Amino acid sequence: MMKSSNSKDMVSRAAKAVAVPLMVWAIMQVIDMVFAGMGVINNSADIKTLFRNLISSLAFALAIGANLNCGRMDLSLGAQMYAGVIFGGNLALMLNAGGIGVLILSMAVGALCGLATGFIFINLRILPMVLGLGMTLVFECICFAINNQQGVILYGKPGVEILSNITFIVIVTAAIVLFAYYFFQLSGYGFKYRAIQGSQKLASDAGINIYSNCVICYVIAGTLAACAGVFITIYQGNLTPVLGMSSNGRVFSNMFPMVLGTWIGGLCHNREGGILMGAVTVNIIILGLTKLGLSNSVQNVIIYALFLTFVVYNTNRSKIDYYKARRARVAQAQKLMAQREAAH
Amino acid sequence: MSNSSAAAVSERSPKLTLADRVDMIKNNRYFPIVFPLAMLAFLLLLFVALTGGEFMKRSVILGIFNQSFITGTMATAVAFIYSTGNVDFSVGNAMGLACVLGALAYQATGSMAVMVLVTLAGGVLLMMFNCTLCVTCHVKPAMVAIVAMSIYSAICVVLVGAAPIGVEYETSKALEGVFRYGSFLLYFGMCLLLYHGTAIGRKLRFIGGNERCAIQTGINAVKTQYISFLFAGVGVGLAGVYQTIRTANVASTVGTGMGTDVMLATVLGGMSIFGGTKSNCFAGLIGAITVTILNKGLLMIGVSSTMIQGIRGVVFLLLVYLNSERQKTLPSRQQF
Repeated sequence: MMKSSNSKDMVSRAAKAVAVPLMVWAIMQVIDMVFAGMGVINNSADIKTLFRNLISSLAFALAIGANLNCGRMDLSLGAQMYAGVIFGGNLALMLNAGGIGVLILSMAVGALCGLATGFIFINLRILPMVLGLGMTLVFECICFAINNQQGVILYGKPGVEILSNITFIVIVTAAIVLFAYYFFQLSGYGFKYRAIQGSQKLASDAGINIYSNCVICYVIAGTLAACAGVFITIYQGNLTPVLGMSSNGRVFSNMFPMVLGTWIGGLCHNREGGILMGAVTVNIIILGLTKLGLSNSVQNVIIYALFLTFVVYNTNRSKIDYYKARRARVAQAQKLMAQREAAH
Repeated sequence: MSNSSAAAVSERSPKLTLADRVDMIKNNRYFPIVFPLAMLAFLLLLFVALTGGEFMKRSVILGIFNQSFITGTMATAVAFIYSTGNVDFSVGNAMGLACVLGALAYQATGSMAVMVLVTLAGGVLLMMFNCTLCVTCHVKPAMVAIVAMSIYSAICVVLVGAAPIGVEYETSKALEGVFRYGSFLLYFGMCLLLYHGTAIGRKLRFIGGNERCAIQTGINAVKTQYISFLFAGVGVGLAGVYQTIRTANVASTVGTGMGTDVMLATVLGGMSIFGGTKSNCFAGLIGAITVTILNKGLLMIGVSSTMIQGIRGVVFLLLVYLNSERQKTLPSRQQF
């Protein structure tokens, strides 16, 4: 009996998680069929594009969420991504380590960048968003100064083609989600992380080392950002360093999958799975808009308008629920009164 | 009092450590005003010495003034927003979109007066939109800033396209004279008066210090925050006008990255971007001049522009650290 209720619960949660991207796909499919005469996903190239974009936005969204769920907005993640991929990628190319080497070394350098940011944060204790701005300036400067301002070029390099392989992308996507789920939900670290998420003061009083937990969180975020960066680079062919805080754009563009994913995660009681579904949803919208032949700027306007609408809804959800419940109560009362009057 | 009792009192009184003394200096009410000015003077003297007096040339000083003008206006404007604890770094993109709207109005009518009015109105309306999202829709300011800056920059690209929109060069240069200085002085004076001489400024600082307490004392937080965004909007619009007349054209990338420059200037000017009682509206202007002096001075002594960004980052972090109180636990803030 118990087992059956558990499995029913799991199926219900999975259905809720999958429902959002499915609904969005159905809507985009109709729009694309009406206006462009073709579906959202028509051929293998579309599937490849979807998976390539999915892995980078998923990894980045998880990286943003790692700190944001504890009230820390790390704006330097974009710069950490650049630093990780430019340093790690060039090092791997020098060592002829191939695609997997590029991925591992980039993630290692990303982890180091996260470690540096986390270490500075726990020592200076200035607001995370402000620290992020300062660290962005520093990381961008370092990225620009190395390798003669060339960044990293993966196009045409031997051994890196594995990074474009769909099977490899699917394996890495699954590994990222499983790792994040285990790390934040099942491990001892995750238990403490969630305690800190609830109340930092209470967690600290209970003996949890909030400082080491925070540094580890920054390290994980840096690693995931660099992982996202590798797949962005292989898709573009190269990654050119930027200045003037332009790297922040990477953080902003991945906020939608993160926020939407956190909401879906709330529905299915699995934040990491929710973020995966959030990333799938946003990438389906992007793919659908691309099929309509819209320019990148128009796509951005539409995506951010949707994001804004969602954020406004999400913030005021409780009020909407309250008004719905009140209207239902009034309707019930009116119905009851009408019944009584009819009885008299 | 005899010598022995004085000695006894002295023995009983607690000994102040160096950290205590530093805290005493930092908590002095005049510290946020004196420290940025002292730093500005120090940087000025440093670069005068390092450049052998070249730094004090009229052309250099005029260049510094012109460069810090737009950021200074914007930083003065956002002081109204920052005072209430709202961090809005989308002001650069709001200014950019206001410029684009103004330039399009010029293209349609051929009138510079219309361009100025539309840019001003654009700045005000965009900031009011941000305010509505923050105050009425209760979306966290950081989230509003992220979404707003992305939407505004995308709209700029859609409206402008690849080629910049040009405005009349001669009139632009003419406006750079009396109009620019006059309007800035008028705006800055009005901000100073409102912020430091009226109840509006006090209410803004009170809300930034403790919003709940401010509401319980009868302050209408919603109305006050709308007023703060209104004044910020006027400043953003004015900065947009200065930007347009400075270059006599508007590109799709106008205003990009300026939001963070404004934040940097505010912090360097000695004001917390999270508001409160120690806020002031002239910090941004001092900060903008400091940033420009730092950039120009480093360039003149041969530091590359890439390195300048790194140095700015380190200086920024150091100043924020010196200006903020060290918390016992880690700082955090619910973002959405």
